[in-house]
Amino acid sequence: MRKLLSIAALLAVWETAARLSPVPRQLFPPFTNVLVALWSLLLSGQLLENYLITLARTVSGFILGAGLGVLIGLALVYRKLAYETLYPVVTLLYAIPAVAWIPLFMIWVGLNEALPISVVFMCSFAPMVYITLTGARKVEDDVIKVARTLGANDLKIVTTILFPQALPSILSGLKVEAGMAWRSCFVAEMVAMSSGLGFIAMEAESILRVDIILAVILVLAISNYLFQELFEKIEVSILRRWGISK
Amino acid sequence: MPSIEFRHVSNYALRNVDFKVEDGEFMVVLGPSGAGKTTLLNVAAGLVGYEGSVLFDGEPVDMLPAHRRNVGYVPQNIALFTHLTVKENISYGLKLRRLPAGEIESRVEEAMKLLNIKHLENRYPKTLSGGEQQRVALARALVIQPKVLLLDEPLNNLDLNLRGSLRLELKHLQRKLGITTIFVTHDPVEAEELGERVAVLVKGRIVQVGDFTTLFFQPASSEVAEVLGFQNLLLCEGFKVLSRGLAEARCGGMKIVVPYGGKGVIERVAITPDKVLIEEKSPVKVNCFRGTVEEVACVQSKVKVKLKVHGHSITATLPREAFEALNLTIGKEVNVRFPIKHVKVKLREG
Repeated sequence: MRKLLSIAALLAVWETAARLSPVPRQLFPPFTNVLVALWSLLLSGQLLENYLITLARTVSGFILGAGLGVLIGLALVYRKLAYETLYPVVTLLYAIPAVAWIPLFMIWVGLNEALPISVVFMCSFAPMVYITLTGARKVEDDVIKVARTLGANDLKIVTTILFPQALPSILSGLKVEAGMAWRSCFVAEMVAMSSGLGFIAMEAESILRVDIILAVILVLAISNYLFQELFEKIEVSILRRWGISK
Repeated sequence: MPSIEFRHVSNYALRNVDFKVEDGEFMVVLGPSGAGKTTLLNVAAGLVGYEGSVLFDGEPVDMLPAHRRNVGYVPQNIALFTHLTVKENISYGLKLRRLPAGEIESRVEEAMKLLNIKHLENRYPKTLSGGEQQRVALARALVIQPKVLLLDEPLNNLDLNLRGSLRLELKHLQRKLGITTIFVTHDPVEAEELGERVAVLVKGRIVQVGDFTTLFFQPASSEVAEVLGFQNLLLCEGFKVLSRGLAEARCGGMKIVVPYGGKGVIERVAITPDKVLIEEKSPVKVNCFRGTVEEVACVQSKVKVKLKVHGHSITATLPREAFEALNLTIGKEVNVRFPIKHVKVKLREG
């Protein structure tokens, strides 16, 4: 309820400020104008079509990047040699902002579907390696030792101990990185694609339709929020089940 | 159940460890922090590298990795799998052995009944008390029917009362199952109450092995004496038999009633510091002496009090709450009591 109230308050301030402001409504439209633009985009089918394109790019890049990131993270925590060899590389990749890859990928993969997917992949991969590694390294040595004495080999330790025990950290990471994935895809579409939410925003900019830009940003924000809520709910339910309050 | 033997075992923490735990025996390894106690258990379990040899029932197991040695291991911090329920924790090892579902079910049920934790089967470890977690860890270690049971100070994180009762229960359980057990601890009281034999480990070496009374009165070195933590050793000039099972020993002006088996001359009398009682008013007069507080020092959750009693220096360790209740200050006169059952005697043939 409080969440809804704070959002309603923000929208009310926006609406009032835009209506009272001397700035032309074309440049600073009230919230209701943005809703109208959103409605017309919906009716034309343009929003849904481009939204689904962005969703597909974001989800596929995110699943590939985060999935591989989790696997590599688990391998790194378990194998000392792999950790010592690959951890510096991961740390270097982690420091590079995802959008910095866009110009490089424009040359390497070209202006096609692989571009935003690659950007989202890079955006999710290194952080998820890092987060998984951090989560799995929190598992106490004694827990692994006990599992070993009970008969667990290397693979069983990874699948039955390290992964489930690192899961709360992984879900926290996914929650943050899902937002990053949406943003990176949006930027890639703005810069280099001719479809998707980012593309609509750039098109609207060229005809000075701030209401459309804001409508697209609104859709992006809601999608991001829903993704985060999903991971939050999974995380909380797991932690509650295990008797760890959050 | 097989015996377990360490033959010239050395590694980063152990130096030429050489001793044997007999079939079905409860062996306590006693040593201070950093002595290598945990490493010794890890060697037995195959969790760390070492030179030398470990034998189960005379067969070397050095080439077997930890997951093939079939040992039950309970570490100091219990290490339950927080993402699994009690029942899932206990069945973990059995599932890895790919036993039929029916057999897993019946063995888990049996283990839960044995440890009295059937009512907790669907709970997660974080929702259990320390004592309950302890039982689950034991059930998980025992259910795989291990060749040996390795216990690494498992009662350490429990409060004193619970520790005492679980200690008894553990001993009873071990006798019932007849499982060869190594229990490591830094606490001489635990060693005395649990161990049929005690091995003293100091700086990675086993310096003495024997029953507790032998170690207590005949420590092989000052290191052993220090580990056993005894300070209250009194020389006796004479004694008289009071009744069957009791005698009165004269030790430098003190007349101390002691347990007496009826054979030999009482040479020395001793009592461990944690068994010495300090009281404002004593409910019984036997073995009760006036003493003066000379020194007070805090040691973790306990308080060490040095007293002068009839010219003897006597040390007592008290729980902090008991110390605060007594309001002890240096120079204060108090009653010092040695409960008969806790007084140890060293006899000489004669």
